[in-house]
Parts: sequence; structure tokens; C-alpha cells
Amino acid sequence: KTVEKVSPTLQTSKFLDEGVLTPEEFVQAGDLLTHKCPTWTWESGDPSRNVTYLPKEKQFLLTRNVPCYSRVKSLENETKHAKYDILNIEGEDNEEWVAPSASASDVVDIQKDLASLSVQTTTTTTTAKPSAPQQQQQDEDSDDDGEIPDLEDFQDDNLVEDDPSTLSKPTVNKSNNTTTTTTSTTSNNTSTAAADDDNILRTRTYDISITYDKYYQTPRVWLFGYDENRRPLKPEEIFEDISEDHAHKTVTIDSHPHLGISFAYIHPCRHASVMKKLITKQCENGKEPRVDQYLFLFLKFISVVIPTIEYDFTLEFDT
Amino acid sequence: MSILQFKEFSSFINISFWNELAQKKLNIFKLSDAPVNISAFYTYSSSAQLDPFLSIEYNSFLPLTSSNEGDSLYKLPPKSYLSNGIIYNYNTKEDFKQAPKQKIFEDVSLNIWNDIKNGNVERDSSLLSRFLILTFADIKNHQFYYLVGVPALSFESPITLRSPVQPINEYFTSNQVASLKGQLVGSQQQFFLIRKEGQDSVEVASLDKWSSFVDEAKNGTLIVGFSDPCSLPSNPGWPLRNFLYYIGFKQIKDVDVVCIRDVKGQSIDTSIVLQLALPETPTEWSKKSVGWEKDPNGKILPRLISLASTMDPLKLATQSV
Repeated sequence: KTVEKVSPTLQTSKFLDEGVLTPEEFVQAGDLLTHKCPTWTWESGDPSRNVTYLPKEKQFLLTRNVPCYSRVKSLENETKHAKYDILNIEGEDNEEWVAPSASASDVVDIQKDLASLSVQTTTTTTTAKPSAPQQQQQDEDSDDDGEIPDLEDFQDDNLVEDDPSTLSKPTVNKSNNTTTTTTSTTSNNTSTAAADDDNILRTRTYDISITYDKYYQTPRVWLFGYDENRRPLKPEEIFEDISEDHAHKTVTIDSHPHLGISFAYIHPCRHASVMKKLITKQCENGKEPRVDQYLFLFLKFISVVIPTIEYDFTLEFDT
Repeated sequence: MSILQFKEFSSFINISFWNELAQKKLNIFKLSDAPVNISAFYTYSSSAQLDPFLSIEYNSFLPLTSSNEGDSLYKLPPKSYLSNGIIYNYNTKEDFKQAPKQKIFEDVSLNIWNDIKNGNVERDSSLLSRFLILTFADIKNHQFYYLVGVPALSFESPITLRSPVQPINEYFTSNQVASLKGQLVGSQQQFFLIRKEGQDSVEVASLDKWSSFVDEAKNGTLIVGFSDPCSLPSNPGWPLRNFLYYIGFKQIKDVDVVCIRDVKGQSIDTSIVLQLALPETPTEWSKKSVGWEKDPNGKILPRLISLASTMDPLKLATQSV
């Protein structure tokens, strides 16, 4: 934080040379993203947290309610043997994409890294598999959320609705054991399987935001997750949606610069070098890298880290 | 005759809202439990696996209009529609429990009825869309109790379908669909009037054009449209209910409703058309309205959200790398 305050804002474009962005270029890239993918919007955030190097109405990018049908664990099982490498960010210098606190012991084996990169990165449907129950460990509500009072005490007998014209939300079916996901925060009743009355399968959703990181001069991705009942996910639950090789290493929790609440974010320390490689690759393939397309490339690469969160970056894009 | 069922909203309260409420409680409301206006929005459902959401976010307390230039205003995300809300934040758990819930619900319903009767909804159709939220913020423990209601005025008997639900492409020609889509681009209207203009186009108008549209519909059936947050194949979303009550009040019995569904801003081809028979034409509101949000067990009970794991500085410290 302090470093960020004293470090000067990047003025001249170093996009091609270093894979980084100036604030102006971030705005350009964001404009194209919101134009091509209307699910992404510019947000102004908390006015008291505005930064001066970005326009008031364009402080950060946000996409809401992005479905996340399955956990990374099940995806990795499905595609374990799929051997294709879309991004191929393996560099000649064997630079790995590693943890922020990179000490020698933390360094991820490049082979392992590549394995995680073989995950499909298209936005097209990953079909939910409610029929393949993953007997996940239900972390038995390690009462870190304090005492949970009995809400039945709040029953108000005057409030009764019996309306033939109402299609209610499906109620939780207690005998249903096909739980594919984990706990909700308060109730012991965690079934989230297919609904009985409208066949809607509940899914987790994420709000994803992209801020401009002044220190690293790259975009920074923030994740906020909700469970099937729209309760915020706990950090450890969010880690279930982050590729195993990156969870706990490249993802950590901090206060969102424009909202002031805690989000999980993908640490940007390697973003520039990965982007640089992707840009170089584009050049080698005879394509002219465009700075306003930066975020499409960037999001494609981020999807390696969060392969099951189906956010939108639909522009046809080859590296 | 099959009964039309409306899909309820699910409240979707962003964690940033609870954070904002806690700040407001500490710095502005203090011990006041007077109701305060807030805003929420709904949008098209992006996936059949997502409920229609009524979303309340960090900016919900911002005013919709202001005479001071430079004031931050509530801003709807693109392709989203306004719901006018009121929040009652109580000081204690007991006050929250004893809140005159039914009375508050009736008051909001009465506002809707008055706006229908006085014709205010013709100037601003978002007045048909209202909600209320009762809260108790246990700031010390980072726990928030809440109960949401989205009142819908009810007819004495259910609304029925005159014929099976139709896809929009059967009801309109493809040119008419294109014409409709073109006129909806950038529109923030939630409820509107539609008129077929020959085989190739339609005219879309806001509710203040009611009289001219209704006159011309005398020989046929009135067509209306609304932005539908639901994506189920044969159920419309909740906002349609108050719109139909307005149409009933206008002495209309048969109405065709185009439920606009928008897929990523690209296509409205998944929209459906409901050909409806309204049961009666109310001249006074019968005091009947529904729309309390149920908990996951189907009961009208408050819900509790605990944000200790995301707000408590001590717990946060343990998560950091």
C-alpha cells in the first residue's frame, strides 16, 4: 500500500516490451471489453476510494453473477488425461508462475504447472454433473462464524401466504443426498441438488472484478463467490474453484481497493511476464498485438486459474 | 384453463451492501430506526440455472436524483431495471422481531395501488416495482438479520392462460421480432405497450401512450411487454404481477404479454408470449398482496448472514498468505 502511494504512475506505454499497462491503456482495454462483452461493466465504486489516475466512472471492471457449476476438483478429474495446451506459456527461460512469497521451496514444478494449463479454457458450457456426487468432505461448520441463533424464534404467525399464482423457490429436500457441493454457512442442511418443482439446478456464482494495480502496472483480478443460496462463500470455499496449483499460492485475500471489503484476488506479481510471453507469441504468429485487446488475452490466461468460473470474454482470440 | 404462476424473486444481497449498512448505522443512522429509501435492480437471467434475482449492492443507499451537481447517484447496471425499496433497520434483535411486518408490507402495497389509481405509473412505470427489507445489524458479531418482501397486488382469483405459452417467433414474424428488438435497445423501461404495424414491424411505447394504444386494441387484443428476469419456459417473473393489476384496473380482460428475455444483449429469441385472461377488473384494491421471501425451507422467516470470515480483521489475518 505504502509503496503504491509513492510509486509514480506509469506514463509511457510499455505494453509491447514488458506486458504492462498505463492507466490510460487500462481504460482503453476496459472500454473494448465492456463494448464486446456487455456482461462486463465499468463501476465507480465507493466515491471516497476513487483513485485520481482513472476516470471517476471507470474505476474498475465488474461482471456479476457468473455461474460456476462445478468445482475444480471434479473438472481436474474429468480432464486429467486431456493433453492439449492452449496457452503454452512455457518459456525458454523456464520461468514459472509462482507464489507471491516465492522461496525456493515454493517454486512450482513446471510440469505440474503445465498439467494445470491443459484445462480447457473456452467459455462454452461445462455441463454440471449433479449425478456424479463427489463425496466431498463437509467441513462441519467449524463455528468460526460465531453462534448461530435459531431463526425459528422469529416466526411470525401473521405472515402466511398461500397463493396459487406463486411459483416459489424450491425448498430444500432433506432426504436428498446428491449433494455435489459443500456447506452453507449456517444450516446443517446443505443439500443443493436439483429442484423438485422447476428442475433448476442451483449453482454457485461469482462476481469478478478487475482493478488496475498501480504497483505491478497490470490488471488485478478479484473474486467474490456466493453459494447456491446466495450466501457469501468463505475463503476456503472459494479455493475450491481455483485450480489446485494456484490455490493458496497465487490467490490470497485482501481488501478491495474500491469497495473496502475483503475479496480473494489473484496475485499480480507474474501477470506482466506471462502477458509479455503471450504478446511475443502473438507476434511470432504474425499477429499484431493490440493494447485495447489486452484484457481478452489476460482473461483467457486467468481462466487457467479459475477454469470453472464461466465468465465472458467471447472475442475470437488466438494467441 | 391453466393458472399462470409467477416465479418469485430471490433477494441477492451483495456483501458490499452489508458493509455499507454497517457504516451507515455507525455514522449516520446511529439510533434512528426511521425507514430509508434504497434502490435495487433486476436483470435478465443469464442462465436457466439462476433464479431471478433482486440485487442490492453497495450503492443502494445513493439517491436516484439530486439537485446538487456532483452528488453520486444510484446507477443501474446496463440492461437492468429499477426496484424502489425501503429499509427498516432496527436497533435490537427484539425490535426486529416485533416489527409490524404485516403493516409495513401493506403500506408498500398501498403505495403501489395509489400509484396505479392516480396514474403515476404512466409517468414512471418503475413505481410498479417496489420492495421492502427489514434488517437488524449485529455489527459487533458481523451478523445481519434480514427479511425481504416484494409485494404483488393479487386479484381475487388466479390469472389464467387463454392458450398455451408461445415462443416469440410464433407470435410475431421474424421482422416484427427484429423491429421489437431494435426499439428495446438501450431502453430502461420495464413495462411497455406494443402494437403490430403490418407484417414487418411493431411499435413500442411507454405507458403514457396508454389511451391511444387501448383505443386501437379494441378490435383485437391489447399487447404489452415487460423485461422478464425469469428464464423458465412457462412462467413469467414477479414484476409482471403489478403490471397486470394495473391493466386489470384499466378494465382490460384479455391481454397478450410478451415476456422479453435477453441473452447477453445479443438475442431476444428465447422470449415467450402469454395470452392471458384477467379474472376481474378491480376498482378498489382488495387489500390482498403477497410476496414475502421464503427461507430455503419454504417458510417466511428472516435469514441470517454472518460475515465474520470476511469482515473480522482477526479471521482475515489468518487467511492472508
